[in-house]
Amino acid sequence: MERDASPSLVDLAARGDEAAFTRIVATYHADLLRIARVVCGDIDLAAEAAQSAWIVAWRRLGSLREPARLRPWLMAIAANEARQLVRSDTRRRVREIVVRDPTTTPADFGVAVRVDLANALGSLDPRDRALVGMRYLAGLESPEIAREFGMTAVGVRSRLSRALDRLRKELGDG
Amino acid sequence: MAEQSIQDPFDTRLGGLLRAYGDEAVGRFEAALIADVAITRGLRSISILERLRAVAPTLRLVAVAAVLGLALAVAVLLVGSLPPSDPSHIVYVRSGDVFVTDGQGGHRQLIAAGHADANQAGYLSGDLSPDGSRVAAVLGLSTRLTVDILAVTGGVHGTFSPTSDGLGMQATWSPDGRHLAVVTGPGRDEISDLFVVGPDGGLERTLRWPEGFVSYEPIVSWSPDGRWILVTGCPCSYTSRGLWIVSPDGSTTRQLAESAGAVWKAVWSPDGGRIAFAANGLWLAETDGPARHLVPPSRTENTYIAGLGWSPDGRWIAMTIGDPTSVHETGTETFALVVVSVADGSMRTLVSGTASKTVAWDGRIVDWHVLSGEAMVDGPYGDWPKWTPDSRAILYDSIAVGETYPAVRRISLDGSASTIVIPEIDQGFDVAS
Repeated sequence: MERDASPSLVDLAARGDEAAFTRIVATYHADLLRIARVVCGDIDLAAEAAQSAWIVAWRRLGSLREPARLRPWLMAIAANEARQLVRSDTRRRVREIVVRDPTTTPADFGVAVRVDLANALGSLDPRDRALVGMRYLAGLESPEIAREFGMTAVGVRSRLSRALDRLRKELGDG
Repeated sequence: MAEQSIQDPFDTRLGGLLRAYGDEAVGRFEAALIADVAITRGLRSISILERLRAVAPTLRLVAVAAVLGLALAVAVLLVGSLPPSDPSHIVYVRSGDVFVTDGQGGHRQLIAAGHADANQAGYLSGDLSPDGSRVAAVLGLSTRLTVDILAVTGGVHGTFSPTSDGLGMQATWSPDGRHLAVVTGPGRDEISDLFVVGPDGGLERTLRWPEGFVSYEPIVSWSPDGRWILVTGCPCSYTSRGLWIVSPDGSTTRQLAESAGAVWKAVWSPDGGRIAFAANGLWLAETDGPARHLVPPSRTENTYIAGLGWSPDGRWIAMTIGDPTSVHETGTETFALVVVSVADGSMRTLVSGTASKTVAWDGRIVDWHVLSGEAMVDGPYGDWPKWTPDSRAILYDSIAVGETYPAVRRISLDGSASTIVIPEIDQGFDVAS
């Protein structure tokens, strides 16, 4: 289900209305955490990326020309922040595996699968992980991803193709 | 556009796995949707940071000025000792390593190994100095990008390691070979940087930008008369890539052709007076005047201009073009190398080809191969046709039927005498004329 803040809410936030911005944060923070986790692998780093993304968003909200595109715009910022953090933090790669309370973990997402997925994502370039995240978590098509990342649709398409082929092999679906 | 309905169980599985993987972060920080409070409090502190930022540029300027004087003195000494020119080299990258050949593709020499592996990309591109003696090669390390200044005879003259942590980087030589312009993609601070660097990698100058300038997949090019540095990017959102020129001393920054739309590729005329750029058709812009369509969108409908090269005699512009209309569809893509007359915009196709493509429901290509002729490779370093010094032939990279890797080819202006100059490159190459 697509959840887009109304243009008026975006307008208010862009004019500095903190209450409006807080509502936007409440709506999309989970989306930002998810894509940041996929890009950087590390949960703490993902939280840091999401926080940084909100600061960037706060400063740049006025440049968002199409408020209806708020969610992909925010997720692209979070993905970029996560990429930067991965690049600046070589100690914490996407290999971090967190063993969590099984009662909160989906039945089909056991430790072994998580390890495989983390390793598979770790074999990709951070930018490719961002593209994969935008495709599967934001649900965007290649031209829309291209628009958010300032790339060509052809470029997104070819990079996604290579990345997904790699994931398919790493996850044993090849 | 409606998505196709090719169902792929792997896509469904991967989507579920990624969501569960991402949800782990959400689960931990669910309570921290207190983040609302923390974040908005943090936002208030930004105003303080803004004030600090207003002071910081002044301090930076003082530091840069001090370094600049020393760097210029060193650069002047070193430029005087550059080796003699040796024109007609070709430089290209293969598997992260940099190779140089003579103008005919012979005498191939490995001049720098990029040690590409799972953690670093190795060398990504090489730009030959005008006299052909040096190569500015962008090196992708595990956590950052640098520019190595290589001698075509082997050895590293120096390295430029920008303090910014931008993604993506391009370097281009000034016409006199005494400086490099280097532009980075957006860094941690979400802005791009443009540097002027000496021939041994020493920083000479950091050029000032409009507030928040961003240059994704950056293009940078020094005008042949040395007066301007061209760069693509935007000062606002990710989507509006504009065409900008900056004076090398940083005193003037000017946006050209604001109404032309997003600018993807751009190239200087040989005299430095005009710029040809791809933005919904092919345009010509004066550096101090208006822009006009050379090839309007009606004649480039359904095409994507991937690379441009202006002939040394000023009469022709070579374009590599693709066909983005079938991006989402299983079917056939078309490619072409086209020459455009600068005088009247008339076009002539020199090379064409088709590729077969099978696309899954999500736009992912599951099979791609060349069906006929030659196909061009899209990418930041590919698809830029180059001219021979006499303007009689074009060098370009493409993949033909049955080939696995792109090759550098040469073709005459009349479409005859096509030959392979260098087989099996990654993508992209540069020439010294």
